[in-house]
Amino acid sequence: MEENSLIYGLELQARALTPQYGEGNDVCFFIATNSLKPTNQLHLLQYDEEQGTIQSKIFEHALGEVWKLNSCPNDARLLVTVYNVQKGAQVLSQAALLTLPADGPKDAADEPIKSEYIPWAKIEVLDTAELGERVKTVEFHPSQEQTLACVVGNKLAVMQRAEASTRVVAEVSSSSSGAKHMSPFTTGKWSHHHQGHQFLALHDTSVRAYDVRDTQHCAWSIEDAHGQFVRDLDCNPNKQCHLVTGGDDGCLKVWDCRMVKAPVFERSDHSHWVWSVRFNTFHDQLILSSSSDCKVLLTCAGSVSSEAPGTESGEAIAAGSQERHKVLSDGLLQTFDQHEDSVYCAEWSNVDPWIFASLSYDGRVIISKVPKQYKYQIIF
Amino acid sequence: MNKVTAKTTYPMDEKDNPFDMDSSSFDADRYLEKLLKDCSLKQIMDTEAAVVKDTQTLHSDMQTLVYENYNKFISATDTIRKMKDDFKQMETDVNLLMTKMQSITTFSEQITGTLQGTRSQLCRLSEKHSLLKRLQFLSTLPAKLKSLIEEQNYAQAVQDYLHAQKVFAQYGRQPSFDGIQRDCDAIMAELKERLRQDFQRAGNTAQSLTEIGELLLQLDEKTSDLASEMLRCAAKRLHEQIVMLQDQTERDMLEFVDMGIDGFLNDLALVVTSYFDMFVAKHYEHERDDFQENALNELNLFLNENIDKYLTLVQDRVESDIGYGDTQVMLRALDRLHRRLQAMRNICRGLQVQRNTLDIIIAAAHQLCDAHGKSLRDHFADSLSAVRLSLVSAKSDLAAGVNLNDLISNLYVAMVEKIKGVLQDLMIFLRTDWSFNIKAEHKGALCVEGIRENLLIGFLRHISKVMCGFADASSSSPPNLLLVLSKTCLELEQQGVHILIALVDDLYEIESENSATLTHETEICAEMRETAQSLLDAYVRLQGTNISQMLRKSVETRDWLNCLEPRSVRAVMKRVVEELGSIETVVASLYESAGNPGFRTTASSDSSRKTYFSNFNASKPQYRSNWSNYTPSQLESSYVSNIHRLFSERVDIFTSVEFSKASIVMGIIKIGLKTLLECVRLRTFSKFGLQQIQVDAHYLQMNLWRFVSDENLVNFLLDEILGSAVHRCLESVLMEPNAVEIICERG
Repeated sequence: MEENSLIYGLELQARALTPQYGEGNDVCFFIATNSLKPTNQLHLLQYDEEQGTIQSKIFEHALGEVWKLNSCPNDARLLVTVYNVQKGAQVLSQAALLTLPADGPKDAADEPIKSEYIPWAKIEVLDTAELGERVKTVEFHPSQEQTLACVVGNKLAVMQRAEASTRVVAEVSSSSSGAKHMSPFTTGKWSHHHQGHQFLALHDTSVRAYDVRDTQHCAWSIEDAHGQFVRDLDCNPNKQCHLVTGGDDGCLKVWDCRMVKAPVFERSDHSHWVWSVRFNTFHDQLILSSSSDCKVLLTCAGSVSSEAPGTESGEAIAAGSQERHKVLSDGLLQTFDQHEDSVYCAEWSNVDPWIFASLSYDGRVIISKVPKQYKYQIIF
Repeated sequence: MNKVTAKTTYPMDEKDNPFDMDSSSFDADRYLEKLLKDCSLKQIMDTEAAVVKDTQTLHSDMQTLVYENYNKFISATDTIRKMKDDFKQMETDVNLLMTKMQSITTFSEQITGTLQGTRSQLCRLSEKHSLLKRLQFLSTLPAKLKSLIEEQNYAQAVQDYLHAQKVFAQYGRQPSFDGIQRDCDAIMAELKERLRQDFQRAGNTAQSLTEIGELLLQLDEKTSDLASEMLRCAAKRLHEQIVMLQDQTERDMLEFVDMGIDGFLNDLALVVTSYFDMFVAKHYEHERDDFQENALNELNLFLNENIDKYLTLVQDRVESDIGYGDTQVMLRALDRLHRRLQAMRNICRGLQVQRNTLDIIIAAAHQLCDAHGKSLRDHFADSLSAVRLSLVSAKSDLAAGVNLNDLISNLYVAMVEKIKGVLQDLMIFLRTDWSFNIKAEHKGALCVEGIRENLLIGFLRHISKVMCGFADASSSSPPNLLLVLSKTCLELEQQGVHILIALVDDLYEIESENSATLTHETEICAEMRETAQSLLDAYVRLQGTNISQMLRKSVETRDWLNCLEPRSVRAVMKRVVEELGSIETVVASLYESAGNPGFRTTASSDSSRKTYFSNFNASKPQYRSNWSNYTPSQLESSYVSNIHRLFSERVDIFTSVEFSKASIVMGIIKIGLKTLLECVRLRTFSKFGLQQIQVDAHYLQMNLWRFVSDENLVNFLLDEILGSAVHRCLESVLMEPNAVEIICERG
């Protein structure tokens, strides 16, 4: 176990982690710090499996403390950050698109530069002022490079960067709640399916799917998905209509959005809030979850995965190309407890299906592997 | 008169030896010649002397013999002369006797001649008398038979007829007898017809059936026909009995079985025995050789078929009655039936009754077990909803903590007593005065084990499963219910399971210790403990969530950047402490804390809190929180918390809850404080916002320590909270510790 994981430490608190997408074959993760101190950083970590080392490139994030980080699935150099800025007696959340410098001249990195940080190729602050003060997340569309979804306060908007247009797709109506303090959207995510027309937004204890082609068109919703706040969700990349959610009640639930009455799979192994949940892209029976109980859990939901024997052959895409793998029995596979503070993010590598990274508030990044015995059980 | 010399001198052939002087073929010349030829002079001289001497001796011997024989001849002659005289006298006597005998013979012939006539007459007369007597019997026979039949004295009629039959066989040719015989035959044919009708008539008892059968048999009815006829009629009759028994639903089991025994079984036994006597035990000349064997087979078939029918009826009855009526009555009835069938088994050789009443009894036991199991489950469900109801209704009640114990003991005691009652109730199957012994059979033994496995263990498992259902996050049960159920499970684990399993093992004499198939006590205990644990965890989680909710709302809804300088502890903190106080009261009523009683609290009124605070100050004056010593410059360093963490031991915040007051309350506090920490980390604070958090944290520190056994953990969490607030603060200036204390004491 121990030799399986690698620790990388940051000096500041951090709560943003995302894998770097793109064509590369290297296991790369972005992390960003969350500190009120002036110099926040953004690190690009590259994990070398053979040598068991982590190489990092450090960028400065001068805009403010980073709360959320997303990288573009189509452009390895592009990422978006959500950060706080102070404006007088107020704190505003904003978002910016950042572009990494081109990797071209190798010696450029070696040559001593006056700053300790590598400069950005381009920084573009998104214009979210008219949408609201509190940007929750900005999500890249999974296939359309120019399309972004912004969750700002109680609004959900779709930006077309090519046309420089922003359209509000959905809004939680304040009139319905009536209370003076209305709860906004928490976060959201594009659905991998439905031709990229659906955006799943989390609102208090519910999950709502909006059709972005229309305004205020709620395709379906799961009310009271969790007893308390729903913190995070992830779509099963290989099985239509399946998504996993994690919430403040410490539960992890897998839903079939066609049957929203009850989850198809449920575990409550965490003893505090679940901050992130992720399906493994390659073997979606593996679910990674992290929690403020300082633990990262690897759970198997084999019975509801696309790899489960006897699943309806609706997912022809997956079934056609992918050979069938063994399915492990449901339940908790492994607890990773090397973190000493709340773990706000845990992400699978998009390159190697057996590697994942987790980030705790104290700035500790741990890159771990799925234990060998499970790996072999799934492969063979 | 042996010739010694010759013998000794010439030992030669005994016969025809011409040299042996004693032999008849002695040849003197050859002897002499030989002598002269062979012997010397001396020897010849000696021989001559010996011969002379022998000759002399023989001569004198002959003289003596002649003399003696002469004397004997003289005396014989005398005797013969005397005999001649006696015979003459005897002849005259014999002649006299002869004449007398002749006269006797003549007299005798005379007498015989006179008596001859009378004797032959007498002989003829006696012959005639007996013939006449027989004739008379025959002539009156038809009339007699008729009258006997009128009187229904069939047996006598048949007897007489059979008697006459022999006579007819002898004199059947005579025309006068022929008439009588025809009459008799006609009457008997009629009788036979009548008997046959009787035989087939439904209303007959088995007794009369047997009698009629007997008679028909004597009247030369065909045996095999009669045999099958008899079984057919008997079956019909028995069927009627069964139908009659079927209608006796309003009678109780004992009466029902008695009726069955008196009517059905007795008839059946009678039929079987008479059939056996009539057809199986006797040998019939004119039937085939295997007739007896066939008859026995058929009887067996018949017997089993009927017993089967009857027992099916009984079984149906038992099935419909069990669980409703008095089990003891039913068992007494079944016992009686068992005895009767046992007796029936022994009536005839070669008959086997396949079906056993024991099966019915075992089935009844199984059924009763199931019924009891169900009633236990129902009772359990009822008492659970009762507990739930009383908890919900007593929610407003301040003294809720007091009756929790009562609820638990009610639930627990009622359950245990109910199970005990059921176990005792089922003991009735094993009473020693029954004629049957369930445990003797394999199936029965399985059944007895079933009482343990299916009934008791099954029920205990059911309890644990149902209770586990309450622990599910989705079931919205009141928190106190979880606590009550958890405690009940714990009680069961610590005592109940052992008591009950020991009881059942003891009552039913089951060797469970070394059995491979039986569930061991520890398994159930482990299950119970697991359930208790998960219920307790659920309770802690639920209460923790409630506290969390309060804290989260309070942090989220406040504008921490633009707040005023703190003047008091926020109300939500007081509410949290109060909530914890009442939780502690409830928990304490169930789990007495093992700690020193001086620190026990019963209520959380303001005054008592103050005393505890002073107490706390007095007993732990050395304690100062880490953060209260921070200077602003120290706080500037972002490493402080990391360094601090480096030197402090890692505190495992989320461990499993133990069954003690402190652990339970601690679990709730941990969840609450952790939530507060997470909420604080999501916000940005101004100077006064931070100071408000400082005040709140101090207030919590002042009040929470008394709930827990290890206050370091609380302090650690509070440090984390304040540390995080410092990190999230734009202008980290803490309040003076004294000012904080003053605000907190002010409340």
